[in-house]
Amino acid sequence: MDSNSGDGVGDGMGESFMGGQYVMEGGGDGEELGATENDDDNRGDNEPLREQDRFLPIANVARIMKKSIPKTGKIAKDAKETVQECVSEFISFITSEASERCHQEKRKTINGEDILFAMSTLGFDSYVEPLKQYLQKYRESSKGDKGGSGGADGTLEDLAEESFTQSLSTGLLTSEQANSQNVIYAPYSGAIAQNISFG
Amino acid sequence: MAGVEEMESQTDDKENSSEKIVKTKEKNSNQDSEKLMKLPLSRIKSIMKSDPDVTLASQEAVITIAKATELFIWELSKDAVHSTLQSKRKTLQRKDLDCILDTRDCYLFLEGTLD
Repeated sequence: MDSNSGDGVGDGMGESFMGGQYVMEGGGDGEELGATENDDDNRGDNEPLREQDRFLPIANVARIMKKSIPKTGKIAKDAKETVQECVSEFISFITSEASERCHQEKRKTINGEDILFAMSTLGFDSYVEPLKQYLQKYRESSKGDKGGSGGADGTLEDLAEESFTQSLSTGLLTSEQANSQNVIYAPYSGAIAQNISFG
Repeated sequence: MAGVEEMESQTDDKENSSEKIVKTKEKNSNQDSEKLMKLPLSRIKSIMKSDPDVTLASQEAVITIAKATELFIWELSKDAVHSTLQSKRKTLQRKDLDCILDTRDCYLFLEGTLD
């Protein structure tokens, strides 16, 4: 696959692969993730995102949706598309709030704490605890990667989705019933070995 | 008799190996499902940077939002499926999402999205 200048040349399929900013998605290359400053350089900042870039891939979205519906259930295509749009709105919504806080504190780079603060401000405080724990594991695994060889991953295992959604659902039940901000989070059950895979 | 014993031991071996295969498959599918659950970080970053006020976002910020997005999809779907089940349907439809939007304050920002 040859690299190109990122001009709008070629058919639709070719464009999506030949866009300069389209680094390996899910390729597990940790180095790419850090290049937030240099990424997207090929594309001018003023160019609006193409239709396919404004949303997350529908397959990924659908896969996550399926986790929360009964096994025998199905999802209509328009529902998947709707959630796609909602998700992009969500990302923009949170980012905007986090960015504002950043500006207020005269910082240029949005960090994880800004995101957590935005979550809390915007009514997603039930996400904060699970995200904090996830971030902690991510930081620990990052240190491990720097200090050791690639084999360090073998000591960590994937964070079970269930552990997040359990603490989330417990909080949801509480807020549903009491309609208050008092949320009780279920403690982590058992020693779930952790791993963050960015693949 | 020896032949019968041989057959039994072969059966045991087969059961053991099939158990191993099942366990391996489960492990692989767990790993696969974990990998497949991940959302593309570069796309998330693109969406974040489409906001003109956003200058830089740390890797941590993108990862946090990615995880939050998973939680959001999960929660949205879980809420919507209540409406599906109440209507005695098996297929989650767009109208189920419409229904649940005013059930939580945190969904208010989606008001204009579903028009």
